[in-house]
Amino acid sequence: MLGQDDAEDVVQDALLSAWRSMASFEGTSFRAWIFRIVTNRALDRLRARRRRPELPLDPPAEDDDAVGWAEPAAPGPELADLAADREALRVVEDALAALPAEQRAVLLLRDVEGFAYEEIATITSTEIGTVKSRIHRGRLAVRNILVSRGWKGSGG
Amino acid sequence: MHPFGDLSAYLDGALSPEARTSVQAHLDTCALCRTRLAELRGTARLIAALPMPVPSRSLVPRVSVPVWMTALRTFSTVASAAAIFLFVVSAVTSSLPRLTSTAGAPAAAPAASAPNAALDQTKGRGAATPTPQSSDERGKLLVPSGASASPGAAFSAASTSPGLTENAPSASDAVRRLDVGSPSPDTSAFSVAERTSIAREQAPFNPFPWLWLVLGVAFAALSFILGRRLRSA
Ligand SMILES: [Zn+2]
Repeated sequence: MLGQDDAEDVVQDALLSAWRSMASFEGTSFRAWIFRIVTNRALDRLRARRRRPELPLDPPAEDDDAVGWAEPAAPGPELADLAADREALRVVEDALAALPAEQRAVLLLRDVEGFAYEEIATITSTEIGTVKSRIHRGRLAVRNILVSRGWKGSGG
Repeated sequence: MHPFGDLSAYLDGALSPEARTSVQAHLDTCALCRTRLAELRGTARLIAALPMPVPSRSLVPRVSVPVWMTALRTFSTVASAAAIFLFVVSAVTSSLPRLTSTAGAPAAAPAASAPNAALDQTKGRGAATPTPQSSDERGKLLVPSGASASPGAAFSAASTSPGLTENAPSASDAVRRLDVGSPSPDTSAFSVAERTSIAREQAPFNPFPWLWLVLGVAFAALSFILGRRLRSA
């Protein structure tokens, strides 16, 4: 997870890079192009920072079905499923921070930025199957943490 | 078998038509998968609702540029503006005496009767661009010192020689030189009227305004070039 300062450095860096390589832009979505640059910069920075770079950021792909679904915790303080609930949002934030960087990146590209899977594959320079797997596992991990805090995903 | 692995993609509408139909059919019969799907939808909504961090500083990349470059550019801009302004001022002021000089030597006396004005004029021009009128002025100022010549007079006489007219000191300089006073033979050769008419003939046009214009254009060009360097750096 990058701090605010790092994030701003990355964006600055990416904007400069985008400006310089403006001529090379040929895709259909300018927004996806910008995100591609920013995402790659951020991931590069994370990779460079890790102590043992031989370890992949994303754990080796297992069978997605093998990823467990945590069962709801015993009756406790229930997190409202309202998006405005600060407590729930804080939990989500922490859960995202604990994710492998690649999972977090695709999840944010999907749920916050609303990119389609194909666009995300282009942005992160990966196969669409990898995108699908990462989104599923990332979202499931966040769900598991929420559920373990007593959250009931009853929202329609 | 529950299609757990496809639920997120189903939620995102990223499944192929066949897979989608298949998951749809399963959801119709499986309450557990419907719950899972609802949880994933709720999770996605919470993620989407995360507050956006606000940048604490400008995200426009800051390019480090040598300080001298910006300073020089600012200086150039100001200098070009000043030089072009001086061009206009000296062009206007130097054209005024030429208008009065059409009246010839007799007109020199009335003009010289207002020495302060002439002094102001030469001062205002800063670099002391002499004009026929200021020559007149110097001539008149020399007269009270009598026939005996002075360095100022000598300079006045010298200034009548071709090409040197522009370098004549300001009227106030001439006055200061008068105070020092040491004889010099040649000046008495010319009367004031003669001197002024010679000066007028040999300096039909004052090159100083054009010098200012050229300087102004040069500074403007320098400023422009530096500006482009700053932008491309
Ligand atoms: Zn099922």
